[in-house]
Amino acid sequence: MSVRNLWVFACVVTVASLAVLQPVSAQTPSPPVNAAGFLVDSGEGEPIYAVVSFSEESVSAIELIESSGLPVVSVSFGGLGKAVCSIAATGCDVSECQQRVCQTGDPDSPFWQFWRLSDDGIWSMAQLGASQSDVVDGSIDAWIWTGSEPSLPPLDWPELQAQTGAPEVAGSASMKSGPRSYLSNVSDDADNRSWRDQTATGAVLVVIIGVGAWILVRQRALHQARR
Amino acid sequence: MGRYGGDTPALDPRSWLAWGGAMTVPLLTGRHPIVLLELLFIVIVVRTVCLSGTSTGGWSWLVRIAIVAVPLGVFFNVMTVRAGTHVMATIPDSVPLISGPLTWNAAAYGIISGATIVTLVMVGTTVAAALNWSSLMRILPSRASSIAVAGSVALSFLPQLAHSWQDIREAQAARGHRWRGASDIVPVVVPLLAGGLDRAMTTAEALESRGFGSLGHDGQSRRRDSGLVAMLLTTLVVGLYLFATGQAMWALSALLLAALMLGMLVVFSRHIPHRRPTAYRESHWTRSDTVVTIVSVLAIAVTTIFLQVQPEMLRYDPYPYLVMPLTNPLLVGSLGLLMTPAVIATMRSIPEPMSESENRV
Repeated sequence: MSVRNLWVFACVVTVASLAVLQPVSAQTPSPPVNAAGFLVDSGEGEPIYAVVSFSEESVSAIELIESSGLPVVSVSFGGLGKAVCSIAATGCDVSECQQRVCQTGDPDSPFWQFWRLSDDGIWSMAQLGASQSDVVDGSIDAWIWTGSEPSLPPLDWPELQAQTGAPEVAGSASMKSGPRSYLSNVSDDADNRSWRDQTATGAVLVVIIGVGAWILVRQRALHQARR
Repeated sequence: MGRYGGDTPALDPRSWLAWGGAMTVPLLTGRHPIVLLELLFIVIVVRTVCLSGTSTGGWSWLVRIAIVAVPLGVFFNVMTVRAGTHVMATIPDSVPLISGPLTWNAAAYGIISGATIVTLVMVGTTVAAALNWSSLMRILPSRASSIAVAGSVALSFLPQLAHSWQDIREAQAARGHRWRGASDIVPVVVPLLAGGLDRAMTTAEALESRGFGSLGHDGQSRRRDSGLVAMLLTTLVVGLYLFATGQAMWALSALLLAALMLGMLVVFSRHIPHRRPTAYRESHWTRSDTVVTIVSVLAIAVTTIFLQVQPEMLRYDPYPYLVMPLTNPLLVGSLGLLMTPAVIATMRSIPEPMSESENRV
């Protein structure tokens, strides 16, 4: 095959590939009618409270937390469902999660425990994984990063709404403007520290690029002078 | 004209090896986009300055191949990995085998992987082109001379091949050879193979005439030392692997064991007479070598500490979320010091101001 034929073949393949690709269409969300809440306690700082609205009759607990806007990393275990590796930068990375769901050889090492609040206000560890646990309107769950049994605070809807600033009635008309999540105030310390580090790193990089650019300009000038 | 900075004297091979090691460790232990871009910029500057006025030793084609491989790697990664939350397009289910979402996460991973390979190749080729191999041979102990010779022969294989390829192509083009199809490769490949075999024979004869491979000591101690060297290298590699995977205590144990074996080798080799090759011009350790070595060791130390304490500053995973990577100014700053060889070369290249008497003349 000559070089010209090769180019023609490459062009045909490229055009064919572009033709079969569909651009991602913006999906118009159906109006939400339900809402559920949860708390996330990483063991450091204040726990995070969240209320998330959804349009379906029920969603899985994994879907709920993933749609909350919190940074969540999860891995799939096929038919067993998904496991949560990290929430809001607390937890472990994917490779570690795939081995022991963040646990080490120590049986007391922490992992993300999934707890549910019953109708009579009693917390109990979920019997099913978060992928199989259905969340319906008014459900309240908890995600706790610990290796032992946690002592969870009593929680109800008014408390959740007060913490998150969500509308009074779950699934009310005021929440029908689109799927929304309401989060309690997350501690800004980590964000501030991260911003300081990013800014300082940016300054260091500017210095390095400046020195490198000066060296390159100097080198070019020397070359021209030698000629 | 010197090898280093045009008219400036060369750095000691040990300094270049330390610099190469410091540049390589962050690239091999993690793929952090900001660290990666910083190291890529540094190696471009050092390469431009320190290899100016000299041939890059036939390594440039390897860098070009690595750069060409980046878009291919990105394409394959996007087509084969469908993880991630940032979808760029979706291949409909009617297309067999490749249907599904194409994600920006996969593209980002492909770009980072490709850039890592390009940077590693550039670091390796820069060190290979800047190193004075004969000086390195003289520095190494006589016990390691056979490994060093084999290594230098292996490293010079690709640049020699590139030079031969270029020469043969030009010679055949002068005879009217043109590329029209796959069959036209024969007039180039056959002389290339013949030339390669010829060079191999010449190298073998030259090595044999210089006594390469002669038994310097008795067979029993040689077997013992060979076994020890094999165990030492195995333990060292295992230790480095454990270190890279974050298992610091096991890594430390393995590296201590390797150090113990190295000590035993040194003790055993004391009775062997050291044959140091002679040279017309001895290389000397200069202040520049000290500075480059210190900043390289510092960069390795800081990288090592961050790898154990804050590995997220050196590692980045675009799956499942494509977020801004975390950075640390101390790490970025210490790696920035690896531009020192270029700074030294530039300072050396600045012409000194003329004295008053010279001005009058």
